[in-house]
Amino acid sequence: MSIKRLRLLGLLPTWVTIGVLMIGPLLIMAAVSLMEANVYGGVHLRFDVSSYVQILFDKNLFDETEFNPAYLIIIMRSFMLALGATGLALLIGFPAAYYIARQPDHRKNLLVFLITIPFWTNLLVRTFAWVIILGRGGFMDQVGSFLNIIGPDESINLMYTNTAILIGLVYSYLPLMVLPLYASMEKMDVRLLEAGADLYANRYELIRRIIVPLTMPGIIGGSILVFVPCLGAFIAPDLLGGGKKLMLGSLVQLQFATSRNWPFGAAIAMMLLAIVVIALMVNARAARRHAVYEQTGAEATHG
Amino acid sequence: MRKNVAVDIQQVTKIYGTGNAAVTAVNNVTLQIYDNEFLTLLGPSGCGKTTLLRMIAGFEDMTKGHINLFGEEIEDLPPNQRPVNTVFQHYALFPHLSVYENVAFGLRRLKKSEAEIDHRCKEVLALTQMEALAERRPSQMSGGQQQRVALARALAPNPKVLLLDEPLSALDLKLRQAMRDELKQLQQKTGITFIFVTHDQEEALAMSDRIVVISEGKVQQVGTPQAVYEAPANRFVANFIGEANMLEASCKTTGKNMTFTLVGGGTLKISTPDVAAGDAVTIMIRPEKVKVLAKTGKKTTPSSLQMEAKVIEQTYLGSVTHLDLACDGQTLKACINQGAHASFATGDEVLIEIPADNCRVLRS
Ligand SMILES: Nc1ncnc2c1ncn2[C@@H]1O[C@H](COP(=O)(O)OP(=O)(O)O)[C@@H](O)[C@H]1O
Ligand SMILES: [Mg+2]
Repeated sequence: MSIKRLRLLGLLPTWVTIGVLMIGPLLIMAAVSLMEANVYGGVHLRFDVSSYVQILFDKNLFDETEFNPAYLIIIMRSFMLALGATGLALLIGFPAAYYIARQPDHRKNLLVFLITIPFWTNLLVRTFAWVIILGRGGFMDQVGSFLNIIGPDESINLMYTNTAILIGLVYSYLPLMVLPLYASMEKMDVRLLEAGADLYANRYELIRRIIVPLTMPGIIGGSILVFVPCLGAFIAPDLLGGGKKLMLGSLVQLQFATSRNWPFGAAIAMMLLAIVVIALMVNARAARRHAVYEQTGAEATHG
Repeated sequence: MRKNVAVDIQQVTKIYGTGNAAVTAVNNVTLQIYDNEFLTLLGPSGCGKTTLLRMIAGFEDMTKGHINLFGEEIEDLPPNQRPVNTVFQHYALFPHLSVYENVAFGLRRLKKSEAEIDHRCKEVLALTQMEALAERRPSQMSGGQQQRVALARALAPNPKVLLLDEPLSALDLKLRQAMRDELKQLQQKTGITFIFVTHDQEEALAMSDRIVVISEGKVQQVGTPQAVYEAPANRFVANFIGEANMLEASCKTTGKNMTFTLVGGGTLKISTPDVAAGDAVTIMIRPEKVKVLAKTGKKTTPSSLQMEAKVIEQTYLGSVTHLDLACDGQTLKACINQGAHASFATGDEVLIEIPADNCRVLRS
């Protein structure tokens, strides 16, 4: 057997893993989305695109197809909440990552460890903590009445609002923003900031003209890492949105678990996947464009 | 012509850390740097040159003292408000910007008009011969080219004072020597005050109007290259700049022409201020001033000291030959011109002559 064949054989486990665990389920999902729903769950093996049509259109009493914005509203809400959560996470994560990157080595490691700690407990449990904080008579209400913003028996009524979902999402995925940002900022040469200040840049200009462009790979990476799971999140909308404010993730979960409309669930999941792929492509392009920055041109080479 | 003081450094001290970990990087330095001057801070690594430069640029707070820039207090100004630019030791070019944008960075922050920026960028890129590479990224250039960009970038806003922290140290020898001349010309052309930091004495001698020799945070001597070489203020300066022979001696008589008796015997009459009879001193003579004669040779100058010596090693360097001579249990260095003298072989017994006029008395 030639070396080349041997190498291909050596890669076999990898291909099997990718095929069985990744491509296979995807193909099944794509197939299911194009089949007819069985009302008792599962599918009939018949080609049917109605699941995709169903995302935007509905049949009225006279069996006519008409535009139904119900799901579009959910899509838009998901989009807005995911975008909002990403923006907020960036706003909070950027200075946090910068602060960590500027610490001495031993403290850096400790702080990074602290950032990852929430991952060690179940997301459901952590989100439930926010139910207690935001809920009627919860921590927020107590603070509110203590500060005399609300009366003693009133509530700020944050629960079951988009704001509550947003808080939950930001909380859940903030570490995924901080870590790539930190990685970028740690690599950045601080001497460039001195060079910037030497060339008359004020604080804002240092951030805008030096830190942001140099940490762009981290900004893009972190944003993707937060945006994607936010779009598909269902725990936060379920617990903090009370199931009234559905998001795409909740919709998928609902179709498989409760409504037993597998093709429709699969169709939404495919749409989610398409959005994610587009986001990743944007990421890859931006990363390639920024690859040049990564090579530290500031380093002196001889000659 | 009255000289205008550009940077006035008054009793500046910088102490890093506290308690046992405290390091005095700059120790009570007072120094006037004149407008339009090429001034070099020269000293071994770790003597505080960079720290002094960083205090002028505003990156480091002073522990004590004042720095005035053209008569104005700058202590409370952050770096971005000081009319001073720096060429950093490792260039610190912005890797995400083209050469052109690197050079334009300072001008853009100063809110110059687009036309003005373009004009000035082209001007300094031409001055540093970098026009052809204006669109390149720093990572696509050699060290020498990056060095020029760093220079162009710092010159672009036309600072009153340019600080250069060992800008040539990362270049290879050939390039370094070429850049010396270029920097010197650039300074003369632009009329900007250059404060140049180096640990390379040759560089300092070749480029400077004045040299400030620093050791352990303290100024040892300030003077023209000629003054610090020919009349070093102390043993440190004598040893750090060029080669030096040190002869221990004591002062016998005071007056116009004092007599010094060497520890190994022999006397020299040298006129020198502020040494009293009985003082122990060191007599310094440069190797190229030591005359080496054949054993049978005649004394060439009356006011010189002749001693017997033996050649223990010689190094042929083309235009000159370095000799190590054993004399009175001490090793003396001599440097002789090729052809001007008879050649010597290792082991030769010779006579050496130390002209009193070329000796320099240093307090021990
Ligand atoms: N940020 C700092 N913290 C503590 N000590 C420092 C710092 N920077 C420099 N030093 C110390 O101050 C002294 C002078 O350093 P520096 O100014 O860099 O010298 P040079 O540029 O002449 O090599 C050195 O002993 C160095 O270790
Ligand atoms: Mg230094």
